[in-house]
Amino acid sequence: MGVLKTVQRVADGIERIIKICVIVSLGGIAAVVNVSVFFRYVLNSPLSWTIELARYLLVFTVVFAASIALRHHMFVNVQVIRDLLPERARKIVGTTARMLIGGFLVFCVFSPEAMIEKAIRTDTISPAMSLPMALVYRMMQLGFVTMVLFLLFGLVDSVLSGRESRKDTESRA
Amino acid sequence: MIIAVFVILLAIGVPIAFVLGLGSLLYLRLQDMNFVLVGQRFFVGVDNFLLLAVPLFILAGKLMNESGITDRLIEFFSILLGHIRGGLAYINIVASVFFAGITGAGAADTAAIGSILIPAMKKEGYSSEYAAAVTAVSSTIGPTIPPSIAMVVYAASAGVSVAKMFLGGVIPGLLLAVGQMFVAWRGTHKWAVPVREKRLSVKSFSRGLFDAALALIMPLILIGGIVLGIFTPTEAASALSSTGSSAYVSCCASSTRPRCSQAQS
Repeated sequence: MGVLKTVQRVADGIERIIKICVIVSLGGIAAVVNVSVFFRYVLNSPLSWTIELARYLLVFTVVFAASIALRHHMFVNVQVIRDLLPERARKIVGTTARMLIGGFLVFCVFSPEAMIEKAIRTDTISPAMSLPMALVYRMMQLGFVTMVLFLLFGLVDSVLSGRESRKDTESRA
Repeated sequence: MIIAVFVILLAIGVPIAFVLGLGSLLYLRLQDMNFVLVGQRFFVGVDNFLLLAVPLFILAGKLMNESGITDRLIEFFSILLGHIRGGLAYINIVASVFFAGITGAGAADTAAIGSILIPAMKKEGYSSEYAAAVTAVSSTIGPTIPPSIAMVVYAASAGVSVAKMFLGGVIPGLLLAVGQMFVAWRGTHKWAVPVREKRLSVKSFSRGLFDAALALIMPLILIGGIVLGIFTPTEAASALSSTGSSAYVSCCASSTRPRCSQAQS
């Protein structure tokens, strides 16, 4: 059981870091949009970089929050049919579903590679903030990597503890 | 073939987001298209100023709820409608209408109003099935009356005006409420639900009105501002979430509301 504990502790640690980042980023979105409204209406000099920053923060928030959602099985799915199956079949089906998600995610990790390469080659920068786009794409890629990571943690967890990790056992944040 | 894969994946319990992703992947494979598209479209899809409104509306709804605004809303309507036969059913519906004007999701509505009103309705002698049914049905007003998360997503993907969609949701939402109140009127008549003795007094009315003022005015400012083009839905959502957070902070500072201590623990 020592390995299981370690895996769980590592996953908890990563989750805590991601959670803090996501909270800061979501708060940042709200702050940035409010600042932009303030500058436009009150000071009468609209800022150019606010919308862009908010958009990139949204991408960041979405991919990383999705990894936490994946860990806690918070994605919307259809359970009615799976619940009709006998215990053993349900396990097989559950593992198959995980494999498919994993396959898709691994694909998503490698898919932006060509984009990043091109962005580096052509030295693409974002229009308002002059941020290198390669960096923004890397962030998205990193989000997918953490999703794969959490999926693997879940797999290890369920194999070691010998049962499907139950739905909604852990409460929301 | 893609449809068959889609149905099978759904059936074995793959989350819907990934079902969509895997289906598209299969399509790209069949059409021999470049797989770089996946990353590219993902980025372009999320990198959207309009969609920013979605997490902000969710955040705002959560904050409003935790800061006890929902409680005040329900309190106000129970002062107003509590003495009528079947009052709690009406309160449930009317509170949903106003809550719908603050948040954009049905589930938030169910959680916020159901957690308070279902126990209260059971205590007054409604069956738990009836209480749950009224709450579940009245929550469907949530995504109909603006702001609505579903409408934002639709507008972002179909490229239509969010303001027009929001405006279009107002009347159907109110009609839904009227229809539900009619059904509740029939239902409560048949079941002979007890009537509360408490009468409406000017003093309690004005106090309830004052407490619930923020929650009552908010929807009007929000819808008016978006429809008149004073701010975009995203800006409205962010303003709403900062109002919510200040309400939350002030409620925790005074800590007179029981809800806050729950939220902190």
